[in-house]
Amino acid sequence: MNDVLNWLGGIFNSIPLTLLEVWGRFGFLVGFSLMLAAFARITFRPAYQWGLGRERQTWNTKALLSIIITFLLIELTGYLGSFIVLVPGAQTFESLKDLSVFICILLFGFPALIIVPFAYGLSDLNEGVAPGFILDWIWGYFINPVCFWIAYQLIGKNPDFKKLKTWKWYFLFVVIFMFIEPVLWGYICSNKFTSEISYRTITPALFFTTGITWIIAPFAMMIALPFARKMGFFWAEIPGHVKEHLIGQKVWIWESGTDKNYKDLGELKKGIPIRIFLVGPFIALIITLLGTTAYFTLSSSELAATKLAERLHLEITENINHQLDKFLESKQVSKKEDVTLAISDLLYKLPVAKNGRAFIIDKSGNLIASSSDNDSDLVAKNAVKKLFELNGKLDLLNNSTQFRFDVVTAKPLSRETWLTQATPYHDKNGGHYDWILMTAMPESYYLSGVRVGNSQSAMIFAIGLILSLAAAAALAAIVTKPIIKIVKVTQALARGDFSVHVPDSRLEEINTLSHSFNNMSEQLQSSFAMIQENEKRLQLAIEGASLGIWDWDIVSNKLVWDESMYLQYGLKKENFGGAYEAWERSILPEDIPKARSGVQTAMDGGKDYTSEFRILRPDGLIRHLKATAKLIRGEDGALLRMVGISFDISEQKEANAELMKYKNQLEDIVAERTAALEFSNKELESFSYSVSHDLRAPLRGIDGWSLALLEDYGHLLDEKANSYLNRVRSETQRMGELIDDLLKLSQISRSEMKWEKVDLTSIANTVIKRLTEQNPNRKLLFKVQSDLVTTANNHYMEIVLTNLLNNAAKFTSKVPEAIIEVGKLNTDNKVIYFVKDNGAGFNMNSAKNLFGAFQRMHKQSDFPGTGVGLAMVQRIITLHHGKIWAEAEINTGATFYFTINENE
Amino acid sequence: MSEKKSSVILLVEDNASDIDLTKRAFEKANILNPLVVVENGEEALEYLFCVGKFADRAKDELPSLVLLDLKMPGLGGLEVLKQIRANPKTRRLLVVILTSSKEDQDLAISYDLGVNSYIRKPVDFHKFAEVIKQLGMYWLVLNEPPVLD
Repeated sequence: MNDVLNWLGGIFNSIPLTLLEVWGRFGFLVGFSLMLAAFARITFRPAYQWGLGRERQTWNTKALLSIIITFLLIELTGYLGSFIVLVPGAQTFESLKDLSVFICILLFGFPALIIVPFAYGLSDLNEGVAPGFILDWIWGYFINPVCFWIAYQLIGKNPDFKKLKTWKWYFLFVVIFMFIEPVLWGYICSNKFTSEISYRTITPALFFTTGITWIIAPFAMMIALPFARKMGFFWAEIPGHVKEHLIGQKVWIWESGTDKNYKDLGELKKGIPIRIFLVGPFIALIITLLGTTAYFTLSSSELAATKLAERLHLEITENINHQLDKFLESKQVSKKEDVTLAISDLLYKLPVAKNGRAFIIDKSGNLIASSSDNDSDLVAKNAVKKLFELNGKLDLLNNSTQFRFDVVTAKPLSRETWLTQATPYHDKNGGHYDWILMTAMPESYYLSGVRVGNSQSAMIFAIGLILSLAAAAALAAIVTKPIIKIVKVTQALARGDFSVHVPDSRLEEINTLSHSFNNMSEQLQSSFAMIQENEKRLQLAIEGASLGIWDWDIVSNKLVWDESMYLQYGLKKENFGGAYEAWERSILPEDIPKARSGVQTAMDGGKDYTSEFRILRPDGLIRHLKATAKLIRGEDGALLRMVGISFDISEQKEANAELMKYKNQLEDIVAERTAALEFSNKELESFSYSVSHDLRAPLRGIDGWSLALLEDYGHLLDEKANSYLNRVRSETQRMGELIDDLLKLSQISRSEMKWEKVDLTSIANTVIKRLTEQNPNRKLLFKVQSDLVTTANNHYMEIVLTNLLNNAAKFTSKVPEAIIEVGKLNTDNKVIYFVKDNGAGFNMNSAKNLFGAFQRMHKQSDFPGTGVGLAMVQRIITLHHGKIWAEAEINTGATFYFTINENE
Repeated sequence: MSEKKSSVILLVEDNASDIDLTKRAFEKANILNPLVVVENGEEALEYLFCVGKFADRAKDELPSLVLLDLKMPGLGGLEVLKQIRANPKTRRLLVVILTSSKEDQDLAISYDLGVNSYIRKPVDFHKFAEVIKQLGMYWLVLNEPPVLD
């Protein structure tokens, strides 16, 4: 080890000192600049790219814990390292401390960086470095960790030494580090020591120490990294722990834990993290308080010890004076050499000689006697040198004076401050000897107790600081944990995850906030679930109805289809151009003008778009589609966008076509039937015509010639023959009546039914008047209800009432006093008309065919008639959508009831 | 040349029995006007316009009354009436429809075509004879005949 150190020293010895001083200053400036950058959280490799960016640290529990771990680790390794001596008297195992700095900065990042200077200082203080030194080296303490921060910049995001790439960056870092760090310490130390010592002793020593660190570091990292990862403390893998953005831009380009280029849509978060806001001032206050207290406590105890030492010097000097006087008085020694020897012996026996020095010089600065037998004693030399510096000529020194001087040795490197008192001495025996008595004690001697105490105090301060930090972190965690949780839940909500809830907090206000937030989240969840349910339903409806949804941005001519649209058009997504023209390509060529004009109408300021057209699918199928859309217009009224649906109406079209076919068929059938009916009506008409013409003509002939026979040859025939001929004639005439009635019956329903207002009372009265005139000998009593008004066919109603009243009159012919009533009954919203008589009546049992044509209830001789009347009446009532029925009893009378238009 | 009205009654009737019964009814009613009988529509028109087998007839003579049956083989009574009324020479001719039919449409068309009277032949010969008698009385005696061109 020593050989290596000597070899390194040799190399630095060969470099001219001026060059080393230039190098040292350069290193310091570079280090200082880097320090400013590092503490301003500027990064040179944002998102793995060379550039100028800034990183944002999240001050969560892990960050605070990182600070504490780093602090403890440095103190621990510093303490352990001081026990391992690499080069006796010169080098302890400082590398161990550097190693922990390296590992902590790479694993924890910025939180570790900021605590290193303080941890280093405290560690040095613990090892016995004077507080004054620490103040002198203050920049060094801040610049030193920044040199490690270079490694953080180069490999910090993935310090995996199993990868070759990591080793390459690592070597680059080692080169940069070695170039600036050891020499900048040389510069810093050169204020306290000489440049010679700083650059030729301290710098090679640091080169040696850090060199060892860089040999061990990769392997230490191989162990530390997996451990940190496992514990979840590796900064680059904690989600949201650190974010990076380029300077001048507000977009996050990298976020820890995501390991991909992270794009934050929102604005960069501004403001102080609540944790720092709560803990920051607290920590600053504690550090300041503890620091100043520690500094003043340690300084004042040193001061007290020094005062004591000064007093001690006075007493020792007085003691020596006294002994010297006694000696010179008792022993008259003439020989000067003997005197010197004797005095030296005397001084050597003094207690002060054990740790310090006591020596006597003359006014020229020559050593007369010394408690040390070393002639080239550096202490005496430096003391005299300092005395001359302070007083100039020693002749003028009349009073005792106290001063300090340093003794610096290069090898082994040491620096000792001595407290010295110089007192002029004149012997009481006549002033033979005009000397200066000097006593010197190293500070380490009289401050050793103080130093031990100081070290203990520093330890207590350090523990206090750590405990305060821990308490602050814990308190901040209590406050911020639920808030951070709320933030996380909010982010989860934004992603659509409603399962997360904010836990209860021990703090009242935050607890209220948590509860309100949870309530809000639940409400949001339920309404979201409802929306999702609706959406699902809508989706099902859309799918069920095979609806396609399309969205055409007219400005950019971008047409977006949903899945159903592609199914409808039988197209694949990659085969669709996503523009209006792509749609038009699918349309059947002959339907293109129609489709175009639909769109054009919508564009020209029409209402909502709706259009029907056919498409030709790639599989050759032709489908009918219907498309409708809402139009979205700009402020100037220009059409910007059309959003609509499309559905396949092919089946509907086919069904319609089928329906039309059936309808046409039905119409044909109806027309055919109507024609047939018309034809048979015609047939019937011509039949009736023939009957009325041709059937009556022979009858007239029979009657006519029978009468001619009677008239011309009646006198030749006997009475019986005459009566036969009369029978022929009467039968013939009856046949004529039958034919006439038959024709009347056939005429009903052949003519069109015309509805009008009919006054049944008035018709009845007309018929009654005629009946009365026709039967002047009969006693007929008619009772006709007034206002029998209805809607029917006037001509037919005349036939109905004529027949019914004729019948009534006929069947009452054998009753001495005939009573015939015409009226109506109102039952169940139905009007029933009736014609009632008190005549012959009939047997209801044989009344089944009462309304059949040629059906008669009575003998022709009793009541003549053809039996067509009631058949005709029934036919007319049926034509009026009514009903007719009768109630009768033999010899009591009959009542005929009828209704009109029962459908109403 | 002005048409002259003769005393002839033209009976257009296809039924032989009816022809004889009509003749008998005229005799019974003592109507002595000569009765010219044609048995179908074509002959009736030939007689009136003096064509065909009636080409040799005195051309300026028209019957004083035409009794027209409706239903006849060939040209029907309504068509004959239509042609009579269409010809300026015969348009004022007294035409009475004498038929068995009482069809509404026959009545309507006949009056539309300008028939002077429409009489339905009753089956009872007594009534028929009475009708003929009154017909003769009315049209040949009481009625003032139109002036023929």
